[in-house]
Amino acid sequence: MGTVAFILHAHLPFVRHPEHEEFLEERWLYEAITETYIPLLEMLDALDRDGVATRLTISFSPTLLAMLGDRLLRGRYLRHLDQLVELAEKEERRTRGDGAFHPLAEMYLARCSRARTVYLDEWQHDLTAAFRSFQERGLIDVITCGATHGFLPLLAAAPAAVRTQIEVAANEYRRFFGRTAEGFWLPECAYQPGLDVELARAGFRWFAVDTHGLTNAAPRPVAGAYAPIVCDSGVAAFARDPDSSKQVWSADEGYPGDCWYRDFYRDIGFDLEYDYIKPYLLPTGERIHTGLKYHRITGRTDQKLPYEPARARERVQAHAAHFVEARQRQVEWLAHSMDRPPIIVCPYDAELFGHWWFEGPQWLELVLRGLAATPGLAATTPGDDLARHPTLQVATPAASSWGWKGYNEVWLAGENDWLYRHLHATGERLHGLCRRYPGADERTRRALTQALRELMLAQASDWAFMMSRGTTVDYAVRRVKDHLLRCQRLCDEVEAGTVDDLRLAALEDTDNLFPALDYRVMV
Amino acid sequence: MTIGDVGEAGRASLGALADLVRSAARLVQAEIETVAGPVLRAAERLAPRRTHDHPEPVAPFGQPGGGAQEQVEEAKYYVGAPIGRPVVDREVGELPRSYGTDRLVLLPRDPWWLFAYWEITPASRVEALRALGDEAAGTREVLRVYDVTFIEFDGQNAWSWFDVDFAPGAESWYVNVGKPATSYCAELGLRTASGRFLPLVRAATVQTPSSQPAPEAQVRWATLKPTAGGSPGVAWSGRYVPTDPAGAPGSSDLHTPR
Repeated sequence: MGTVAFILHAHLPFVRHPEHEEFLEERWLYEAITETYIPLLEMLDALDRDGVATRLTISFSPTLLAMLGDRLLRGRYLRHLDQLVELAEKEERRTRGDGAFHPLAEMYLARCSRARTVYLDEWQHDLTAAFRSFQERGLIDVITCGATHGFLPLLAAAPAAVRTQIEVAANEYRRFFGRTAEGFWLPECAYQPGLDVELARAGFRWFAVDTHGLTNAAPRPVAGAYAPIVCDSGVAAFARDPDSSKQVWSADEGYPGDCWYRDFYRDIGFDLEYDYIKPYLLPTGERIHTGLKYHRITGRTDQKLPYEPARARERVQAHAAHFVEARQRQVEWLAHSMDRPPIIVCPYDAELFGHWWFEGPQWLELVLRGLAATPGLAATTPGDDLARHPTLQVATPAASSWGWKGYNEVWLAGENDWLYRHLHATGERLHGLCRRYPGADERTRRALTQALRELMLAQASDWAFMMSRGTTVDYAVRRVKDHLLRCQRLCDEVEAGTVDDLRLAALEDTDNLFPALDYRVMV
Repeated sequence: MTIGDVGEAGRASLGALADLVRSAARLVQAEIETVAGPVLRAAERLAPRRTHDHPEPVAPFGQPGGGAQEQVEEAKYYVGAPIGRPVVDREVGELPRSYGTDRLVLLPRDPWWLFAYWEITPASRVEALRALGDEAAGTREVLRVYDVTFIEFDGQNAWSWFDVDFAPGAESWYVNVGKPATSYCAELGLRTASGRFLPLVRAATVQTPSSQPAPEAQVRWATLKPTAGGSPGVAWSGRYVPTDPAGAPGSSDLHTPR
């Protein structure tokens, strides 16, 4: 009678700093791997072994794929993991005799050791291969998003830039997964009419928008947000269901804030005695999150109580059952007014599960098991849905995003609006150069290709986002400037015929994503 | 440990914690504000000041140890053991002040606001003032915004227009157009004291997003064609097979909603 389509969007901006032994922002990747991607793999493995009839969609951004495949970052991750295991071992020893904390220390030691086994022994550093294998076993549909997660509506003033973001994404996906991607995750679900034409050109068959992208579509979709529509270009659009989002996040009904769940802030990196914890902090001695946290949310108080995994597990079971039951009621109610079974699309950032919400992967696994066991419900993917229901209403989604306030404001505000004149002008200039040198000699080809890498790195929506949020602003500004200046300087050198070989090689070595890239994709 | 015990470094850490909450997965931002808001604000009151107070959409991913900007800068530019291969330094210099081309670009911000940025080369300005001759005195640069919904704009045939008298020297401006689902064009030009308008550059037309459901209209349907692989939409190899409408032999029914 109805289906539920989870879409997990896994993305990190390309952060790779070979020029430093350790780099703060690289920790984003290590934490995501340890706390989200490996737990998700464990979840998929459990579902697979038990033969649970389930499907979900996972999107990997090309920059994340690049980092997961990078040798330097893999080595650094392993070093990070080894340190984490070492810290967990010390913690296990330190907390012996403490009835409240020792079981938690043991839990973390087991988890970290298990993560190491999964990463090293089971998959030999290649987590992308792991997800690929689950795709080939039929459990998941892997899709991708814009090459460097550019906010496409705001890049559209230089149309070649949008086309390149999409086409490079298609190429990178094919390189990692050996087939053509069907689905495209619009970064930030940011859509404006015309983007679907570019998606169609690159071979994508569907994308996702926020709820009002469909409810405000023209003409009005008869099924609201609960069936996909198809654009004139032939690409289908699915809309986020607000009810299931609210179930996860609302203050009244939301799950992650439950007082029995693990508290995110109380990390031993901040709590423990300085000299003891110092080897696991930043080289400058600044305290940071280690990932080992011993307290539960408890309530609106600073007096956090120790985490109790068994009680948390009970809450997870209750919340999973609640979610499944809510979808069942929702589907029953919707089915009355629909000619076809409703599809309830539940997109989330992948990093919600495990990193922010420690119990997230447990919850997700129980939900998927619950859906499989519930008559009238099933887990599906948008791709499956198109196969099953290929007749769609024709409509154009409304320009929209899933960002705060529903449009472009987060990425176009006082803190970051200055970016776009530079992004557009540089993109146009590079586009012109690419067209002017259709058959370049080797050095020019490398220079233009590296210039394209630099441009795309500058286009990442993450930088504008950080500026708008006021977090890590200096780093974000630095990244945009560096990449734009590198691109512009390479353009200068190509035009003057003075490409600096040594410097080009150094850039290729540092900003080394998309190794198979060729500048002609921008022509 | 209580809040009262928190020293300088601790307060910076609390700021970092506030960042961390926001830096977790981004979902329905208003909801995370409700869930975590009071704690965030308590943390922020104790932490070194950020520059913004507006409610928080959350960052795409965790930014551990954010802390006071200065401390973060130090931390991240700490150079460890030297490595023996060519490295790339931070780029020296600033982005160009201008790009040497007359340009005006409109970007929709939401159903009611546009953002405009422009560049007018000195040569163009000089040329324009020369063309105005005696009228040059008392002119000012303005942004003229046109409603061109369903119109092939030729400079004269807009439904309506209005001028934005932006601050002298500005190179960008937010324009409150106030009409969703509308097409806008704009020209940056000189307006004389007598009201004559000399355009210098024209923007490409943009649309403001719709802000509400469309009125009922004729419903059209289309049927997707299967992909080259044969089965509609999805190339399969694996255990779970979608229901094939043609009833291919061996297709399992695991996912058909009952």
